[in-house]
Formats: sequence, C-alpha cells, structure tokens
Amino acid sequence: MARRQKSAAARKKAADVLRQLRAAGVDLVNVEKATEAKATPPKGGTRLTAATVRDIGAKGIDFTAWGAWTLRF
Amino acid sequence: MFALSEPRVEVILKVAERCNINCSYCYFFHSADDSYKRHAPIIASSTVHAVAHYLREGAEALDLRHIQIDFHGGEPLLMPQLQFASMCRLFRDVLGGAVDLRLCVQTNAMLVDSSWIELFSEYGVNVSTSLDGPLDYHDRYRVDFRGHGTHARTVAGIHQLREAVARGALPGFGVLCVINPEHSASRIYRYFVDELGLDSMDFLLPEMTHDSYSGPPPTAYGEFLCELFHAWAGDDEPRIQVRILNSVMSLMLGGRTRVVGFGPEMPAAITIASSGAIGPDDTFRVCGTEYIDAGMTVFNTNLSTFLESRFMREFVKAKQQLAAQCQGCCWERVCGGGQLPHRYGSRHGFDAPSIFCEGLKPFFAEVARYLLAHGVPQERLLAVLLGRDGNTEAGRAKVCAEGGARTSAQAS
Repeated sequence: MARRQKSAAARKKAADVLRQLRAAGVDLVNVEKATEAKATPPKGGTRLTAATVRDIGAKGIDFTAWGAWTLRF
Repeated sequence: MFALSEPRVEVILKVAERCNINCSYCYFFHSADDSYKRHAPIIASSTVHAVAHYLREGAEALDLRHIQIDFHGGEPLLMPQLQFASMCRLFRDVLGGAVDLRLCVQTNAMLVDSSWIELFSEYGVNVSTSLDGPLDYHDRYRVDFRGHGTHARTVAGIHQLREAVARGALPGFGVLCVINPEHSASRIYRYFVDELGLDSMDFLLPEMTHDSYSGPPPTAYGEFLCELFHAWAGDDEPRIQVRILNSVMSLMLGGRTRVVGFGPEMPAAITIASSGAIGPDDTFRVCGTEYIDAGMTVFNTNLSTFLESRFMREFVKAKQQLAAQCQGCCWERVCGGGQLPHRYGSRHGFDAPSIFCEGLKPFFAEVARYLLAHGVPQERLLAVLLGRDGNTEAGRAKVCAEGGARTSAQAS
C-alpha cells in the first residue's frame, strides 16, 4: 500500500515537472526511463557538453584551481 | 548540528576594511551593515595570529582536509606588503602541515605591481580581480572617491597579471563581473575573451534582498544570462570557464557545484572581520548587521562552537527548507532555492523565492534546451530534475567515503 502511494506520488511529481518544463519550452516526454541514467558523453554533443560530462565523471568542476571561487568572490 | 558536506571550510578574511575606490553598488560599504566603521582599517598582526591558531584548532577538531582563505576587503592590497608577506608565511607555517591550504585574494587590481606579483608567486596566492567590462560599463559604477573611473588602472593591473601568467610566475587569474542587465552580456564576454585574453570569469547577480531590490525587473537578468550563454556556447571552447554557466550546465547533467547560490548544497563558509569577529558567508551582510555579526570572535570561541551555534543552524535550516513557492518547481534541483540573501526580506525572513527567480527560470530553460539540442538524452535530464540520478546526500556521502574522505564532520 505504502509503496503504491509512493509510486503514485512519484508519477504525479514527474507529470507536474513535465508540465512545467513544457510551459517553459522544454519538451520532455520519456518519464519511464528517467531513473539512474548515467552521464555519458552525448552523441552529437558540443565540446562544452563533452567537457562537462568528463568533468562530472572525474571530480566535478574545480573552479578553485586558479582563484577564490567557491563563493561569489 | 552543522554537518559539513565535505571536510572543507572557506574563510573570507577581511584583511582591509577600507577601500581605495567607492563603487556605488558595493555591498560592503553601501548596504544594511556598517560594522566596518567599528573595525580596524587593516587587520592587526595579533589578530592574524589568533585566526591562524583558531583555524588550526578547528581543522583538528573537525578533521578538515581543506581550508581556503580568501584575503578580502575593502581592498586587500591596502595592506602593507611586509605585513601581507608575514601573514601568508604564518598561515603556511601554522596550517600548511595540517590541511591542504589554499590562499586567494580578491582585488580591484589597481595596486597590482611587480612586487605584489612576486608575493603572490612566492606564497602561492591565487588572484581574482573585479572588472565590469569595457570602459563605459565599468566606469559607470566602479569609481574612485572623486568620482573618476577606475577602468584604466584596473586593466593596467590585469595586464601585469597576464604577463606574470605568461612567464609562469602565476598559474592564472580570474575576473568577476557584477551583472547589470542594461549592459550587453555578449559585448562584455567578447571584451574579456578577445581583447583581454581572459579564460576564467564569472558574472555575479547583485547582492540585493527583497527589501533593497531596485532597478530592471528580474526577467532582464534572465535575458542577460541567456545572451551570455549564447555567446559562450557559440565559442564552444571548454578552456573558457564562465563559472555561472559551467555550474548550471554541470548541475543539469547530474554534477555538482560548490558555488553558493546554485544547487542544493551549502558550502561551509565563514567571514572573519579585521576585528576578529566571526560571521557567515559575507553576502549575508546585505540582510543587516544582525545576520553577519554572531557576537563571537576568534578570541572567545572556536570553529566547532561557531559552526554548531544556533546562529549558523538558522542558515542551514533556511537553505534546506525551500519556500512554499519553490517546492515542486521543475528547477528546484538546479536552483536550490537560490542564494539565501536573495531570498531575504524583513517581513518573511528567508521564506521566499530568490528575487531573481523570474529571470533564472528562463535562463535554466535555455540551458536545458541547449543540452537537449546537443545530444543529451532527455531521460538523463529528467532524471536529474526529478532527483532520480543518485545525486543525493546519501549518494554523495557514498562517493566521498569511497574516496576515503570524512564526509560528515559534525561539530564536537
């Protein structure tokens, strides 16, 4: 029962997020597969998307390599 | 209890609470807090000594692995060079063996010369400068006390820094630009990249609250950010880092950012005034003195006590508790509710969306459309936005634990 309620809540949340995205001009439809998808370099991606995915796979983007970057300074 | 998401603390150290210029938008000198008037113009050596030992003790008690100290002001280069050198030496001596210590300075670059560059190089101080774009943009707000523009002197300092990077004396340096939506984002970006040869920059939303917000509507900030994004994406050059854009793109792909104001995390940051007074992230200053002055100093307390104080817990609670309007928002995972001072208003405290919310949403949508148009699977993006990508506190703790790091250093 609890699992069914949780699943219903998740579906409702997904539907709501999709509705908002659609209103914002971001059209997504494939809810079922939205689970543990791994970040892989996108096919047909740009150098920026490829670099971002690569950085995430490593350790996250390290802005602190050259300045005071954790905060907004 | 204040739990650190990673064994790391950033310290904004106010080494000078005076400035050689008088920017009209300055949150430090022209906001709701005027405590600088009661603080030492330049931090005393005895206070620096106390700060070093306060941080050493805190690092041991909290098992910290990384400490970043940002020399900040006012204008930190107003500090005499001999004193600056002694301060760096002391921090390296006291903290260097205990943690990975990173020293940084945020300067308007007007006083940068060869002797300063030598000091930065000798003590491994990372440099970030403040520049709002080409002359007509920069000099609109960044003026000296006689009302004269400061662009030429800042750019002269930047040229010296560039030359130091070219000969290997410095690893690099960054530039911060405060967003003015009346200016052209692409013109500023092109100026930085093409004319100044910069490759590390960020664009900051101004420090305002619901009480102090003025100027163009929030949507204008969104238009600025979208224009900036298109200029950067058009170059498609990963070597060029625009922190706000890299951060948002990373968050949308399931990564993380340590940058305050985006994502669900709240990095541990403290501000230490030239008097030794301790407070939270310096930007809370715009909310009023009571939000930056915890009534504690490096002389009468320790880091653990400060981080677990009721004062700090209130901020953590506010970050975790999104405003009602934000709960269920499709951008919740990217925005994280926004930067806390941007949520603040005297009537509702932090219980409101960011003042920039209506500008941030179209910006996020633009980045999402770009990702989808360039090969990012829609299920990936949706997984992130729904929080199904494993990028949760528990997931992160697991990753950190696997890396051998202590992940939840609770205050003792």
